[in-house]
Order: sequence, then C-alpha cells, then structure tokens
Amino acid sequence: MNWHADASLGGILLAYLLFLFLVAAIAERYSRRLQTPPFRTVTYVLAISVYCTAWTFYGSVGLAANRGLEFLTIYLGPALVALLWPTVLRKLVRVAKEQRITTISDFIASRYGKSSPLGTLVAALVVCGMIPYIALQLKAVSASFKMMIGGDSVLSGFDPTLLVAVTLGVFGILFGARNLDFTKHQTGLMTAVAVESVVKLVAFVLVGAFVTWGIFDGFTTIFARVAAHPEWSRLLVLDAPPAASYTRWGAMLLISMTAVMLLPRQFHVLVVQNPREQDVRTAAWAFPLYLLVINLFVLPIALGGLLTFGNAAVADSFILALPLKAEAHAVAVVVFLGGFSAATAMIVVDSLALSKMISNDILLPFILRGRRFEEVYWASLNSTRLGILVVVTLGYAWARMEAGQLLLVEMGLLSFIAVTQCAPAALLGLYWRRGTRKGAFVGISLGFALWFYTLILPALVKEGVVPSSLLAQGPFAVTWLSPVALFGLSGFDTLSHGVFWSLFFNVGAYLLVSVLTTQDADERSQAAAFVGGAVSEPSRTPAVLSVSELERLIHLYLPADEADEILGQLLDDKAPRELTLPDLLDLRIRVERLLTASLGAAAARYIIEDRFTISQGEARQLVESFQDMQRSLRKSERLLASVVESVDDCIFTTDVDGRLITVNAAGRRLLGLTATEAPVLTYLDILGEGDRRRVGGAIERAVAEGRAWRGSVSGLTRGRHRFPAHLAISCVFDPQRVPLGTVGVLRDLTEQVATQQRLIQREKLASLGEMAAGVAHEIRNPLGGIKMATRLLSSGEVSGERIPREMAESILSGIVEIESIISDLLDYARDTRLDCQDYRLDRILGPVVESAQAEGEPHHARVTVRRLDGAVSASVDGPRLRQVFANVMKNALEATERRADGRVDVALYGRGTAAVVEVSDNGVGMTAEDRDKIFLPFFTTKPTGTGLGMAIVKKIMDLHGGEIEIESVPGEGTTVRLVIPRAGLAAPVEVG
Amino acid sequence: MKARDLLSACFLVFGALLVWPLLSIANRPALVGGVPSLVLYLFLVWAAIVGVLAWVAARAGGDDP
Repeated sequence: MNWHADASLGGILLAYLLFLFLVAAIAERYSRRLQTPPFRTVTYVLAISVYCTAWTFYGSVGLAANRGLEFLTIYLGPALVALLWPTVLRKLVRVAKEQRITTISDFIASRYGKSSPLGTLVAALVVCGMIPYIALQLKAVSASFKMMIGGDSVLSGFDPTLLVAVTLGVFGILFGARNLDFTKHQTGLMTAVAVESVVKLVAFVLVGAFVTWGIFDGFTTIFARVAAHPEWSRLLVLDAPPAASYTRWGAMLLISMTAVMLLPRQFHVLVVQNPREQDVRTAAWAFPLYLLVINLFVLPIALGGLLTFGNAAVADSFILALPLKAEAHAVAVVVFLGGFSAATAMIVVDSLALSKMISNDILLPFILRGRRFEEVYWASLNSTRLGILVVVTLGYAWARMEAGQLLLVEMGLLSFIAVTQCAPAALLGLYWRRGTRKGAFVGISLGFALWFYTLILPALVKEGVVPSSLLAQGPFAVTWLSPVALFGLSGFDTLSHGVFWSLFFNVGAYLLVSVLTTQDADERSQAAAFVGGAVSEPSRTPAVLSVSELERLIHLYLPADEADEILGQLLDDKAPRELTLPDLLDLRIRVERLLTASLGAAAARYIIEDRFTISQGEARQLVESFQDMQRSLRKSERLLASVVESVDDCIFTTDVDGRLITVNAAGRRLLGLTATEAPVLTYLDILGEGDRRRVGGAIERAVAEGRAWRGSVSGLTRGRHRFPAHLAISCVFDPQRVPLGTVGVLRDLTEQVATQQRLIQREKLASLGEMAAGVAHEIRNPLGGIKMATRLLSSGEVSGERIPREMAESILSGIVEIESIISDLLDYARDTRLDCQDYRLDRILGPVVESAQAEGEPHHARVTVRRLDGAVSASVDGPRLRQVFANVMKNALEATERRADGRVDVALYGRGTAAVVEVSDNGVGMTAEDRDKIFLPFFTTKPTGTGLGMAIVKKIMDLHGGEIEIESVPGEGTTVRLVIPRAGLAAPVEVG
Repeated sequence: MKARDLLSACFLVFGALLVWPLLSIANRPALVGGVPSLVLYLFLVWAAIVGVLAWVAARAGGDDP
C-alpha cells in the first residue's frame, strides 16, 4: 500500500462520515414526507437491522471458522421470535406508546409502579453490559483500518478510533438528542441508520459473491473441500453428543430471541421509534429476510478463509483478508465501509439509548432530589448529550484497555446475556399481573450477579486478570462455588452454564418474590395498564392538576420554544376557567406522559406528585365549576320531577325491601296518602287483601330475580276502599347491576271497569227484551187456539156431544203447550247451582242414546255409537248433563227427519284433561249465520219447538266450565262436540 | 385473532424444529446437492418462517384489528 492509497482511505472514511451527516440533515429537512407510509415503513424495517453490527461482519465469520454453524443462532433466534412479534412486540409497542416510554430501564421502572430505584438498577446494569459491546465496535473499526493500511504505512501510528468515536457522538447529539422527548420521530437519525443498513447488506453480499465465485468456484466447491478436510469438516455439523453443543445452541437461540427486542438500540428503533403499531407486521417478515440474506455468505467466507489461510485464530479478519490477498482493493474498501457502517450505526443508536438511561434513571433522580428544579430541562438535555460522549468515550477506553485475547464475538455474547436478564421482568411483566417491584428487583439483581460470576469472571480468567485457579478450585478452594461448575453442575460449556444459572436465579426469584410480596396501589394500576384489563381498584386519589402549576411545569421541563404550543394542545384551546374536573384529571395524566417521554416514568411521577397543589384562585374556580354542575343537575332533576308529578297514574319508587320511598301527587291522591305516610308502606300494602295473597308472591319473586312484573290487581286506599287497577313494577339497578329498588306504575281502572259493566248490563237488558218477545210469540199461538175454542163454546152455538169435547181437548193441548214452554223457560232461568258428583259419562250417555234409538225408529233414523270409552269419568251434575245430551240428540234426530237414510253417530272419548261427547248427523245442517245465533233463547230454525233447547245446553255447559264446538255444512250435516272438563270446576260459577 | 394464533402455533413448531432432538436429524456429515445437510435444513426452516410471516402480513393487508 502506498501513501496515496492510505490517504485516500482516510479520505473515504471522512467522506463516509460526512455522507452520514448529509443524509441525516436532508432527512430532517424532508422529515414530513419521510414520515408517510411507504417511506417510514421501509425506514423502520431497515433501521431494525441495526441489529447487524460490526460483529456480524467480523465476529460471525470468526465464530463460523472456529465453531461452525453456531453463529447462525444469533440470527435464527430473531427470525423465530419474529413469529411472536404480531402478538408480543405489538403489545410492547402499544404499551410503550401509551406510557410514552423511551428506554428498556424506563419500561421496567414504569411497569413496576414507576419505581426510581428499579430504573436506576436496570440502567446501571445494562450500561455496564453494553459498554464492552460499543468497545467491540470501535475495536472492529480500528482493526479493520489497520488491516487496510498495512503495517508499513505512514498512517500506521494513527488510530482513527477516537476520531470516529467523537464524530459519532456528535452525530448522536445533533440528530438524536436534539430534543429530550425521544418518542418524537428522529427522522434524520433513523434514515441514516436505514441507509447504513443498505450499505452493509450490499457490502456483505458483494464480498460474499466475490469470495464464493471470484476466489472459489461457488458454494459447492468450498463445502466439498471443507467436508473432505479431516479437521474442518466438523464445522459443518454440530458436535456429536454429549449434548453439550445442543445446549449451547439452544442457549444462544434463547438469548438472541430476547436480545433482539431488549438490547438498548433494538428497543430504541423497534419500540420507541416505531412509526405505527401495524408496521410491526411488515417488520416481522422483512427483518428475518434481511438477516437471512446477510447470512448467506458468512459460512462460505469463513470456510474460504480457512482454506486460504489455514489458521482459525485470525478468522475475524477473513472477510477483509480474502479480498486483500486477491488484490481486489475495491472490494476490500467496500467491505471496510460495510463494516464501518455497521459499527457506526450501532454506536450511534446504542450510545443514544444508553445516554437516555444514564440521564433519566441515574442522574435525574439526583438532580430532582437536589431540588434544583429550575434548570431541569436543560440539565437533563445536557446530561443526555454529555451521556452520549461519555458512553462512546468509555467504549473507546475499554477498547484500548482490552488486550485483545478475547475473540470479538465472545464480548458480544456476554452483552447479549446481560440484556437477557431484563427479559423476565419486562416480558413476563407484560402478561403476568402479579409480578411485583420487589420480585423484579431481586430477580434482575440476582440475574446480573450470576452473569458476572459465571460469565465475566471466566472471561477475566482467560484474559489473565484473574488467576485461573479460581475456575479449577473455586474461590477460597470451595470447589462447588467454581464459576464454571456452580453447585457442581458440570458437563456444560461456560456459556450454557452461565445462561442457565443466571436465568434460573433471575426467573425463580422474580416469580417467588412476586408471589410472596404484595403490590402497592401504584404497582397495581401500572400492572393493569401494562397487562391490560380493568384496574381492580382505583389507585390512590390522584393529585388534581393546577393550571398555573401546569404552565410552570411545562416551561420548566420542556423546551421554551415549544412550551406555548404544547400548552395550547393540552388545554385544547379552552380557557382555564372552562375546564371541568374530569378535564383537569385528564390533563394531569397527559402532562405526566409528556414528562415521561422526556424524563422517564419515575421522574415524571416524582415531579407531579411533588409539585401539584391548587392555588387559591383555582380552588375558587373548582368550587364554582362544582356549583355549576350541581345547578345543572338540579335543573334536570326538577324537570324530571315535574314530569312525574304531572302524570295521572300513580308512580312510586321503593327501596330494595319494597318500602315506598316516593309517590307522585296523583298516587298520593289515589291511595289517599299524606305526604309523610309513604315510607311506612310497602308495595304490597297498596294491594287488596285477596291480591296480596294471589299475586304478592309472584311480584316478590320477580323483584328478587330482577325481572319486571305486570298484571291486573285490585288497589287498596288508606281508607280500605278497593278499586280495580293495573300494576307494572320493574327493578332499578346501578351500573354494576346492584339492585337499588323498584319503580312502579299503578293505573286506576275504576272508570274502565264501570264502562264495561254498563255495556254488559245493556247487553243483558237487550237479550232480556229479545227473550220476552220470544216468550210472548211462543205463547200467543196456543193462546190464540184456546181463545177461539173458548169463544165458540161460550157462544152456545155449538151443540151435540162431539164438538164441545173436541173444543175442550184443543184448549187442553194449548194449555199443555204453554206449560211446556214455561217449564223450559223455568229450566233455563231456574236455579243456577250444580250438584256435582263423579260420574262415568257412559252411564249418563247410554240411556239417552237408547231412547234416541227408539225415537228415531219411526222415521228410519239410525243412531249408532261409534265409540264409547268406558273409563271416561268426570265430576258433573248427572241429571243436568243428561238433559244436555238429550237436547243435542233431539236436535240431531230432528235434523235428519226428512232423509230416508238419516244417521246419527255418537262418540265418547277423553281429550287431554277433558271428556268429549261427539254427536254428528247427516241432516240439513245450518248456515254460519244460524250457528252464531243457535244459543240464543227462542231462536229456532224448526217449525216446532220452543227454541230454548240449545240455550239450556249452553247454560249447563257453561256451568260445568265446558265448551261446545259446532261444525256444520248446510245440506250435509252437523257435528256437535261437548267438551267437559273432567275435574269439574273448583268453585261454582255464577252465570247471569 | 386467527392470524396471531397461527403464528403462535408456528412459533412452537419452528421452535421445535430448531432445537434438539429434531435438529439432530439434519445434523449429519453429508452434503445434499453440494450443501451440508444441516446448513440446507436451517436455511430452509428460516425461509419457511419468512414465508409464513409474509403470507400472514399479505393476507392481513392494510386493515387492522
């Protein structure tokens, strides 16, 4: 390499850094457009690929050359867990957005009741775990730079690492920490990171293709040559059992699954900078695809390096060494830029996320407790900015200090396992409500302690910092405390061993301590907010926000130029006077969230709790707004009351025991109550004695079951006066379905019932008139005969023996006719009581049928019994019923009189709870019109007969509670069915 | 939601495919089409995961629960 080439490499490096600044600046300029759907989703997906760092470039190849396929777990884990992203990650994103969370430490602190100590613990431990990771990136930059310029260059004494570190710090400050609110979209930074993801992917694929097809003859050649190699062929499989390599495989899969979501940089781009919850779905397939593509060539490069150089110890540099050896400098430069871009993206995002943790969770608690409120915004912003520089500087220092014995990849893995210690508290806390702050605290502490003991100590031993006797004999020669075989657990590699013990203690302590301790109100409400579902009980009375205090707070904790705009948004352009109490409570929550985005959950809670008091003026305003509310409530109450009072029905309310609480004016009038009398009554007291027994139970049951009840009752006034009424009662509940009492409406039906009675009376009178006319008509005929005969006899004009006797006979027959009419009439009108006994109905029907058969004989009418169920019995008045049957039979015979083939069928059978006597004939039949009148007294279609027969049948059937069904077709015949209830009637019924 | 249940089930299935003992089936020193069987197996599983996720995302489209 010559001086020019070296200088140009330095130039390329600087140009690339400049390019990053330019991209970010332009993106900021067009941030509005870049935040529209296609751009922001693509940016999001590419930015997530900040997961692939310089480690992917150099470390993966190194790992592949040394341990075979194991490196794939680091990328397979994320691909696998992406299947859960639409569920788990979306919930994580949703909660983080709701709570305005900006870092993983803030997330955990917020979940467990916005606990400041927990946040500090997590932040401190994560920062400790991540600094080596940043150091790793810087080391990669430095190592690759050295390789590029070679050992004999004038630049060989120059290490660009510090320059790069500081430049990236400045980049982070300019484009990341320009605003304290990290939930705001950092378009410039995200776009630059996305562009870097493209650069590294292109670079890797390019060099992969170059090595595979440029240096070798494709995949198969490389694989075939390695498979034939006695030593290296083992790289193409996992070590055969003992299962050690499978456990290491599983452990690495597990830690990479959690790390891809919880690493500070991943949490920042994946969760905090997520543009839209739904974009997670796109990221879930695009990100694993990105990982797949970038990993295609790792193995060919690693194996190609082995085949070329034969030494696995320098495998980390294969990716650069291969093109350099092939004299393909352009390719080497591309690789260098790819690795550089991977490193810079990681350093920028990681240092940004870590500085936020340092500022919010480590420094801010001290600043706040120091009561130096006035400068909090600037103090916090500057501490964040300073934090970025501190983090990159620490990384640089670590990179310089670290002697280089460890392979890069091992440092990366240790960082992964460190951040995995946050997974139980963070991810279980998202689904398990019972997790407590103490559980999280103990779990994370133990996890990190074990991480240090079982993983860092052995690494330090390898490094030579700690004597190796520690591993072999354990501390103080206690073998079972050996960091690589804790409690005698041996047979595992160091990594699996460390992952197992740290997670075992972490999860175990988290679950156990959580179950054994209880949550305070803050924890409960935050657990509910994170896990979802209703808050089991309200958290402690929230402090009400004072508007003037709010203004002061916003000016103190948010940038001055945005304060007024934010205030306007918060107040929704309402004047402070217009705010109601719910508005103020809502305002408090929103301000707390706003502060959370900038200062973290714990600090925001601290500030709100500490600061919010109500000023005199605002107290007065609150009182006034309460009074306004009360006034408007009273107004609507009065309106409702006047509606109730003006209704004519009795409207009453009762408590749960049925005691009347209120009765409206109409009700008091109706029931004759004075204003003070209502409370001593229950709703049963306003019912008549009989109804209380009849429906009281039903009403009480309905009310007890929360149903409504309605029906006819008789009401009872205080003066013991009964009146017909309709009652409707329904239950009243509060929003939790707890019964409060009932509301009832009692409608006085006196008027309606009186009207009904008048109508019935009128009908009765009308039918009486009809009957009187019928009687008169019937009697007038025989009376006419008698009159004529009597007149003849009395005139003395008749002589002889025979004629006077005929006259006398005619008079007698007229009198007999009249007598029979009167007897029928008496039958109809007489005594309306039944004398019921149990009868077998066939015993009553049998004789009637027999006499009918005899009667039908002369005019060839055949009476047959079609069916006679002997067992059918009923409680009836036997003689009366016999009369009924006789009348019906008589009608049937008369209807068939004129036919030569007259036929009457009789049947007796049971139907349900009734007995049925069916008489059908094939006689003259009747029209529908006649059928309607058939039961009217003195209605008849026949030349003879009084027309009382069917009226009597109807009356007796009514007395038995029975029914008469008639089917008839003129000219074809009639069927009469007498339906008699077998039980008879429990109580005698009066028929007017 | 059905898609999420499907993905959760796939997580278990693919998870099982990627660890012992199922992994040991592909873990043999043989080349399939010139590619080591384990390498081929892992990349196929990987591609299947991407396929399932892409299919679910495409089917869900722009609408959102």
